[in-house]
Amino acid sequence: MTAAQLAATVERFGPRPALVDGDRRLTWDELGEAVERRASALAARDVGPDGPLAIVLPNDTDFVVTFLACQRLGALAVPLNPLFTVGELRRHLAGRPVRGIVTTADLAPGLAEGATGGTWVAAAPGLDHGATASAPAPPAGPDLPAVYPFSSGSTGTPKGMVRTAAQLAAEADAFYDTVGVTEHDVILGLVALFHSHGLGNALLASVRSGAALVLLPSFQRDAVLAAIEQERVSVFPSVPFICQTLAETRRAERAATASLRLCFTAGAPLARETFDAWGSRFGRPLRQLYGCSEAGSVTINLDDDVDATAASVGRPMKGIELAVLRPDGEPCAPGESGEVSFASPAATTAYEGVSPEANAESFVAGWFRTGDLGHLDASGNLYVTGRTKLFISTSGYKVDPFEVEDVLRRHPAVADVVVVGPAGAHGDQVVKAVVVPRDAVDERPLRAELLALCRAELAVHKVPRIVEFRSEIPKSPLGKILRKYLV
Amino acid sequence: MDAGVRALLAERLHVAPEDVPEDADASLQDLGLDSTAILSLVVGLEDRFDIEIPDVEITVENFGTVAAITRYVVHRVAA
Repeated sequence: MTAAQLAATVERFGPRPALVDGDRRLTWDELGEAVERRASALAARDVGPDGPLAIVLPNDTDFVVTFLACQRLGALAVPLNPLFTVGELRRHLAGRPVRGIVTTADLAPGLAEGATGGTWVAAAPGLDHGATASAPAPPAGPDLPAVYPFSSGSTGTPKGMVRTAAQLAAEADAFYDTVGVTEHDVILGLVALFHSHGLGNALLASVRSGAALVLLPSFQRDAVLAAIEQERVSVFPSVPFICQTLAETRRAERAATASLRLCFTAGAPLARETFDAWGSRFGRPLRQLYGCSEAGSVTINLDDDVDATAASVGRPMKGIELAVLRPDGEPCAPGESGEVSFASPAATTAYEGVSPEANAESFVAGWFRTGDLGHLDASGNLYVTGRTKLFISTSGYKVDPFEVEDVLRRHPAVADVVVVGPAGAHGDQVVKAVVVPRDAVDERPLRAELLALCRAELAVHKVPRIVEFRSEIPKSPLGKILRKYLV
Repeated sequence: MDAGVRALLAERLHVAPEDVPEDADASLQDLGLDSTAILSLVVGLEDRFDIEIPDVEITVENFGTVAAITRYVVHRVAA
């Protein structure tokens, strides 16, 4: 359990550094105390095994303390992107009502306005006022709800799921046992902690191992380079866009980055160009990790033959079984393309709010069918080559095209719309909307109106970069949209 | 200089050159110039014009229009 892992780390490494957040520094002892106090404050507000809590915070001390306090109480934590609009937050919470929402002082008033059904909203600063130093005794049982991640679904509704305390603990154990992170490491917490990549590979990895976690709220090149240099960062979970940008930044060569022993990307394919640029800029290889909201990290490439396996996301973490399957469920031969599937003690067992039939397609006899296409080489290295599903990978985010289409369709001048993800630079995709206007219209003002609508309703990374007008959407004789002709 | 900035904008934002507004003072927000797009543009500008752009100067004021970007780059090249 994450709570037990935290207690063990506090016990073993109490006076060692745990958290660096700007000028604020906490040891494991201090973090343990802060979590206990926060748990007490949350328990007084009815957060517990039957009272889930939404966390709408950037990567800061409050996120870490609040998330761990939920684990301490056996309460389900629902971390959400603080860049979401109020409408997006409401859509995400529609199927999973929460007891309360912890957020920033800036976001609290807007969220309070949209909160329904007696959900309380509190700004994290000041939450602990009057809290006692110890929370109620933790409930027992490995099946306590721990975290509620969302997967980009195939409809406009975000698809949520519960991961249990035992599953989160198994994820942290797998990363710890496979990657060999220790209390002497320093992990850079730049990728979003509300997302499974940051949560698992930065926060849980730190709690499990005793490595210090250096938090950064957003990607700024100078702040990242300064953090690596000053805090002697050794492990850097990242995304291709950030690595490409850092590798292209010439002054990065002057930064002292020798402490960096492991940098890996996840969330989108790593272009060879980015791999090469990173290698020549920083003198050590950029590796790939593969994971998903449903199970956290699944594979990582730690192969000694760095160059030959550059495109691979590596082999399964300890305790995870991986296979690439044919449509009939039989394993593919090496080199043969099929659906990436795995059995992991860290994986959830079902989505919420979907039909049993839909769940049965993804969760088959203890195995999760990812919807990703890939193949294995003769040594068992996994190569992910595409998706059977339709998400768009942009700047480290996954965008559900249907969610964007739903917003665009609300405009009265839009007769039909399809959102696709043509390839941009460095293996990234671009969000592109192909719009069929209802009548002959002046395209320029309509484009501006559509983009304004998207900006009001969607987080900025989901707003289409390209809007193209067409007289019709190409469809197959069976009415299936021919997306390949739209990218 | 304007032409170089325009070409780079189109390249880095993956839009057609004719979609970059003719009016140098027109807002680039409609092109989808969010923070990641601005960063991608910034590293392109650093490379093409052999300059260094401190992150604290990556603001809408400096990067919101073609004219603003050109003005900023000229200032940096001279610095």
